[in-house]
Amino acid sequence: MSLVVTNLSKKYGEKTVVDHISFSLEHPGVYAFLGTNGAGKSTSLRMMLGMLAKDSGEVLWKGKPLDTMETNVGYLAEERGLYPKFTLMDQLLYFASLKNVSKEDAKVRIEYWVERLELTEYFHPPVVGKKKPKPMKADQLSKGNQQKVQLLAALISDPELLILDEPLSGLDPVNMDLFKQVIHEQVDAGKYIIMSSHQMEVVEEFCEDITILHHGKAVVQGNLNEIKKSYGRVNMFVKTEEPIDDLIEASGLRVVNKTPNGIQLKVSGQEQADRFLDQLVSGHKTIVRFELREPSLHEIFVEKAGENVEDEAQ
Amino acid sequence: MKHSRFHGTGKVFNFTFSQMMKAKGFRFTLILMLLTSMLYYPISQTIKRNGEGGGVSEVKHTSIDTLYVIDESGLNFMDWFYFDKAGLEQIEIPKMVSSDKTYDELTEELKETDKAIALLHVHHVADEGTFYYTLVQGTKTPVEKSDLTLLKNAIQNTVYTQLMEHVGITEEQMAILNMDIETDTNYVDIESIGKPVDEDEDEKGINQQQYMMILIVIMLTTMLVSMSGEYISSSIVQEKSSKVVEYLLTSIRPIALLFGKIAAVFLITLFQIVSMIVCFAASVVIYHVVADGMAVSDAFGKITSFIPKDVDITITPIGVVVLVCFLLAGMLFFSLICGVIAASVKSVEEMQERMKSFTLLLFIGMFGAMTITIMNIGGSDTGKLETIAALFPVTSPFLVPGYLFSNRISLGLALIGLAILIVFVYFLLAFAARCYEYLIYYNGQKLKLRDYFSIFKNEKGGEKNA
Repeated sequence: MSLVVTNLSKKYGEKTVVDHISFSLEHPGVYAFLGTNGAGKSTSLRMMLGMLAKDSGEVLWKGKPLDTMETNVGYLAEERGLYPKFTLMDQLLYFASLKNVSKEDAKVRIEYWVERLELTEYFHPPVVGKKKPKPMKADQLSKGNQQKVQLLAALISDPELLILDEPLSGLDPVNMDLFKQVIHEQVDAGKYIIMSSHQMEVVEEFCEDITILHHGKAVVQGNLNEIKKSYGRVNMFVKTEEPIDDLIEASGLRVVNKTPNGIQLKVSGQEQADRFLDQLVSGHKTIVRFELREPSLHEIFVEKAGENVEDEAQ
Repeated sequence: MKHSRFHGTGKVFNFTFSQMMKAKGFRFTLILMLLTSMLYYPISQTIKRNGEGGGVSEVKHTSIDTLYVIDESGLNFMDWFYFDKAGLEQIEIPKMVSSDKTYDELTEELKETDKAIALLHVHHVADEGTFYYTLVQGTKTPVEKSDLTLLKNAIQNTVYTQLMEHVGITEEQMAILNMDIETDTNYVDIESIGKPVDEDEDEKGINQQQYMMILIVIMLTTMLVSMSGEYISSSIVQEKSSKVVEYLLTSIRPIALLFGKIAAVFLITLFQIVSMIVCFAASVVIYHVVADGMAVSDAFGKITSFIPKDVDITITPIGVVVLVCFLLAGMLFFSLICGVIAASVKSVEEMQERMKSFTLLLFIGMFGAMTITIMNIGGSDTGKLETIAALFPVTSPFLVPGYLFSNRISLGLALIGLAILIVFVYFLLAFAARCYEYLIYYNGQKLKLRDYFSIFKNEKGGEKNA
């Protein structure tokens, strides 16, 4: 196993913000850290990186305690940061030198990523008239472009382990696709990636293994497909031309959601769904849509986080 | 490969140094400071010369038409029509009349006249060993008092020049003849060589020249400390407020980050101060070469006139090393305080509020050293106070360099003070680095005094994962 995190804990005063979290990355790929705001995702990542002291636990990389000074780790922080008044090239060369990348290599890598992340016009502004354009500074870029530069900084050392804290938040759809492509490329290149996110669809697209954190505790953990399977095919979507409220009530089914696209119902399993389908057919209802499937990650997340919120309220 | 705790310090140093030198604000301030240093001397000298009677080539007109001369001095070689020859062309010389009338006759005449006439009476009082050159004027005369003063200075100069010519000695020889001769008693044991015997109360105090010297060193230290402190804190807060620090801490340990910054800031501050001194010295040389037509080598000699002649500069090479170490350690001490303050705030606005504690410490250090020096000049016995201030890390960086330079403090005491300062710097360094490690946790929160203690005791975080 490459990364093993065991019993990671952190308390701020009396409040436990990370409560004995354990997980591991056995092979290259993306591991997702999910959770509501304040669930302890960023604190966990900071403790793994060693920039925040942990109360207990162990973080091992290839069998040794993870030390970011010794291991090539790339990090995209949740709170984005660049020097606002320094030129982009100067600060990227500085970041590269701190990661022990030679100036020559750094320049080659920067040029590659500048092109890949579509930042050429900011690093090499076009010449207007006879005046040579001044190198651009970070505060002259939009938020999305600053985020791209920071991803570039995280990738500049060609890291083995990449930690991305909310990498896609605040991006427009075009740049989000670009980031996703880059993450896919990194996975294909055999990188280990830990990613925290609120965007469940994106996580489903990338990640095989997940941890859902709620108030510092891992409420769901494991392989995403297995988690879904464990829930079973309990989500039923029905759309008919005629009203079916009386049938739903008679069957004792719980309505989860009602939209113009249909009604989402919770069933106990395949048998109950089949019985309801028989009732629709025998009742001569015109069926437009009938679907039985596993819950989505979004649904699992909302259910788990929601349950905990309800528990606490009680 | 296991990296040391200071791995990356050089890279931080290079980056901080180059970025500070590139910053427009820094360049503007530097140019302004250098211009001030360059222009101060020529402007002040020009104003001074104008105030004293105009520039070199300007002729000052006087209201005196005729000057009667009665010479009873017996100095036969004195030529009262020598003014032009003596190069005293700065004033318009009145018509000189060697009178055969007696002093009383002429003074009676002056009483009645309303003409611009004055009398120069030269006589010798053997008992006093003094030649008197007395200018006399009537009450009704339109001659202005300021013209008589100008004339008096001109007479003094011409007498002095003619006397030297007559006895055949140069100005240098005259300067040697005029030198003070003082006797002193020294201890003979090796440890106290050069230390004067405390024979009377006066030797406990310091003279005006020493006072000026110490004051200059205190001011330079204050400049060094405050400028570097300001740079350090703004640099740290900028990294914190822009959130860059979180990225940096994955590549470099906090202590290396701080150390690299401090080293760069120290060099830049030193560069600024040395540049200012060099510019000032250059302006002195250029001014005298251009305005007075001096040879360059002679103009260089003018620079040494800024070092007070009476200061006992007998500092040994070891003393120089201790002095430099003191300045370095003092700057480091105050920079680290700034580092701790900056690490505990979130924004530039918040930092300005928090920097009051640094300003307070700076004032305590500077005014502590100045107060002791002022007490010294008044002749007070400040031996114990000096010792305390030399050992107390807040005051010692301000007091010891100046006192060591002017031989007012023993090397042994300076070394003990330095050792104490280094111990404080060491602990402060560890504390500042730990603050950095916790800054993410404290981000956006004001640290209270007990929080600092908690951080120092490492109560809240457990062991660092490294």
